[in-house]
Amino acid sequence: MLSSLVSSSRIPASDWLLAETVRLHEEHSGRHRDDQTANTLGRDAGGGFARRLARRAAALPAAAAVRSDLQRLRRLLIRLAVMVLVIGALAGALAAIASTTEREIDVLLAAASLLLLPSFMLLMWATLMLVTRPARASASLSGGLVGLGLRRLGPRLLEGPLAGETVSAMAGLLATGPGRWLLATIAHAFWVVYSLAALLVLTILFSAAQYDLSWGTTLLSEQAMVDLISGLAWFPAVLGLVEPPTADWILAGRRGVAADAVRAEWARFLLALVAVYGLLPRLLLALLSGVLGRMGLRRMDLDTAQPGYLRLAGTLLDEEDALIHGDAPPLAPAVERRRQANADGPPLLVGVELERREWPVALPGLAWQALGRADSRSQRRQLLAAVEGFVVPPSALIAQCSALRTPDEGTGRFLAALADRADTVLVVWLDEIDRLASREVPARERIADWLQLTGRVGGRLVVLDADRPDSSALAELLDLVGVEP
Amino acid sequence: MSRRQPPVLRLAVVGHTNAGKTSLIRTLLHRRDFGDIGNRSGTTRQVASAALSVDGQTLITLYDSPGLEDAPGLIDWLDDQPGERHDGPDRIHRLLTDTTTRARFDHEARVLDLMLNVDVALYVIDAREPVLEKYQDELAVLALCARPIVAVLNFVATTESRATEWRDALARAGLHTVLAFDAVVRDPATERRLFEKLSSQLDDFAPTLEAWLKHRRSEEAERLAAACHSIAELLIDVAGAQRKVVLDSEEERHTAVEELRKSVRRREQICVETLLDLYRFGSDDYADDALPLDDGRWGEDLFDPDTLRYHGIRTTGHAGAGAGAGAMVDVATGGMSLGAGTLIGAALGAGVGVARGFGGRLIDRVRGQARLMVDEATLRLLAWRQLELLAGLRQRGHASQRPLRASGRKYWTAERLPRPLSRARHHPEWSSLNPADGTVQSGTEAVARLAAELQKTLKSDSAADEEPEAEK
Repeated sequence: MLSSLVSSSRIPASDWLLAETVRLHEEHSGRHRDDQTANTLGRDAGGGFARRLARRAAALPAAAAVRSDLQRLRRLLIRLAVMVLVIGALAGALAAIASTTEREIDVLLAAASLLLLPSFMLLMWATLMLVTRPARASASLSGGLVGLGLRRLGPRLLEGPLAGETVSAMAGLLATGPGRWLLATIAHAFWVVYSLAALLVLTILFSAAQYDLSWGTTLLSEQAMVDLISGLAWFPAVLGLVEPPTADWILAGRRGVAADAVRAEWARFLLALVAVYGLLPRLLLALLSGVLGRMGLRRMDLDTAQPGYLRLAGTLLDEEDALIHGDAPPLAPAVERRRQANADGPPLLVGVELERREWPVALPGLAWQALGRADSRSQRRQLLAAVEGFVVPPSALIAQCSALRTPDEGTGRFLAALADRADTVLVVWLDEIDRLASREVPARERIADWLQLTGRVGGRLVVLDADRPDSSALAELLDLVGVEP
Repeated sequence: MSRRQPPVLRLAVVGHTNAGKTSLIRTLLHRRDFGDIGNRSGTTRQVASAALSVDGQTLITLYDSPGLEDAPGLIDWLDDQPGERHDGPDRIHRLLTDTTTRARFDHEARVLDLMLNVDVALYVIDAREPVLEKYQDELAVLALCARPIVAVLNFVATTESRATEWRDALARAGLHTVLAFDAVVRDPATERRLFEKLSSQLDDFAPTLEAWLKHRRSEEAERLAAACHSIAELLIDVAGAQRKVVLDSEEERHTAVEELRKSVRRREQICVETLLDLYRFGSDDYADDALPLDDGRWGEDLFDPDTLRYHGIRTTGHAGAGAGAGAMVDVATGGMSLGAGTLIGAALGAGVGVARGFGGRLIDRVRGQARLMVDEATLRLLAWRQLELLAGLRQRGHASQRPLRASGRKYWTAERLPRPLSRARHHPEWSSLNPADGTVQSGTEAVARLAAELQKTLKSDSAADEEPEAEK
């Protein structure tokens, strides 16, 4: 039922956070058993289990406070992200300044100092994203920083009664797939800002001051450097940012050879390198992560197999009530039975579906005419024939029934037919009541059922165990049968 | 989904009044609130239906029927009718179209109507009842409907059960598919056998029943995993729980011990409630179950040394309160004077000790402080108790509950605690029982590992569930 509802178990991040907060709280503080309203609302919400859980959580008294705490956390998250971006901008600017401290700049060294760290971090991020599970790592330094800040600062900012759980839930969100994309967006945005700041600072410096950009080598051959530079320039050239460099142009930039005319071209070459290898991949990844994160957060997967959720399955997932088919049956009207005026004959006794083997069992002070037992259809037919035509009408008809039997319509009809034919009062003697205890059936309920049946067929009920006759019940029986004590 | 849906199986539950039809349906539905039943006659007066569905797709429709009350009367009526006697459904049809008879045998007519419109019927028998002729009449009438019938013997777990007599009588009536299924016993294995029996009777519906069984199995596995996770969380929480005390102040020490015990007791209660909820065990279920709980709580106190002994947990070093516990504390406090250690031990009593091997110990000692922790024996007891409860919940209502396997017991009474748990001893930040300092706990992995280990210790038991029990 639960795992199969996966397709419909996705809910928006705000609901997810609320449900998780409530779960964490209930798992450690116990569940308020009287939240019936919330349970009902959750069940009536319909849809998948996750949706019902979210609806229930939203209907709990603490939900409003949790929601405003979540808003605070959201603002904190945004502030942390902005802070990270500011740091990124500063770092980018500093890196640009650090690589241009001298007026003579080695293009390759400057490019390396601006690009090596971001590229290395990019490689790290990609590797961690591929090899680790979301729950293990945020896969980036700045993302981890935001997560840490949230955990540390969150509890201090929140006011609701479930503050700790709210922060845990948010931390849990960041450890899911969509949460990791969210952190990745921040991480890539950091490097986007870093590259932009570096580009800006370089552009300003190159515009306002004169730098000599060149390249050099001590160990490698010139040809190797030419290959390297044209290799690096290939992609910016494809994008149209620089002219495809020729070997002559590259050789003209060699340290000590460089002519004034190509100074600007080399500066543009350095800027293009930073834009293409620093800014572009991060920009694309930031956009991709942002889209994936946004999409994921809209349809979060709630882990309904958690004990804190699964325990509610019984309450929230019960389907609609049973369908009732057909109308309720009508109840038959009761009849009244009288003894005939000249009914001086001894009472008649029949045993109906009794458990006891020896029958009849004598009762003190009561003499009867035992007609037989009614356990089968043929016995019943015989009894129906035998009960008629007494010259001296019997004072009563005693039907000795077993409390072990559930009274049923068949017995009722037989008793009614028998009493009709005997034309006297009907006394239902409910025997074997003491044996009922071992069946763990409450005697009170069973007697009530027999009382109902007896009433329907116009008889009177006496509860009396023949093995242990109770004097007051016996007196009642004697009275009903018409024997003077 | 492009997969073809298996056909919906319509299943009627029929039987004499008060034989336990509605209880059986509740057990199959895993729902306590279906119908309104008691040990009363004719509690169900109309046909009621409920669906067993997966993914919102109904696989099986269960029909609860009013009890048969006057089958002998029906047989008499049928015997009196002229005409063809061999076509059962036709005879039943004639009965149902006769308005006066229909009115007279209202309950029975509803049942027979239902019988003609289902694929299979479960005939529920109260096995404590003698094989009376009226029950045989019921079988004869139902047989006229020409639907496959599986007899279900209810209340066989009681001493008054006449299951053998019934099996004999059913065989004479040509009914050989008989299953003992105590409706109040919620045992996945018996439930599975019931559907397997049905499957053997109904070739066309084998895919339906297989799909349903598969669903139930995965549900069961999911529930077990959640239960183990819940116990693991409790253990990790308690294992890392600490309270700081100043060694000199006896009053403070006493409050700290009591406070720690109280929070551990409360934490255990939460776990118990989760387990009960997971297995949908309501307060009204206690009457017919032999769970080791009183009113949803453990009877014996967790920190009572007798409880440890009762559960057979070794308490080396601190067998009782007093001197034993003092000895343990001496080891724990290391450099402290023997006198002070013994004193604390005597004051602490059983179940709580001073933390050892914890990082902050040295500083604490200088400050004259100690950290109290729940001791290992109590942790074992805690684990053992919840596992016992879980085992009980998994096979509820059994008159004789199978005790946990020895392997599980050995695991929990072994020399060393399971690794995730012993690690948690050194990670107070994993425990939700410690006063929060604003940081988020991160013991989830230890919980997951411990849960997996717990499930492993229970595995031998669930494997035993798979073997079909020999039928009596």
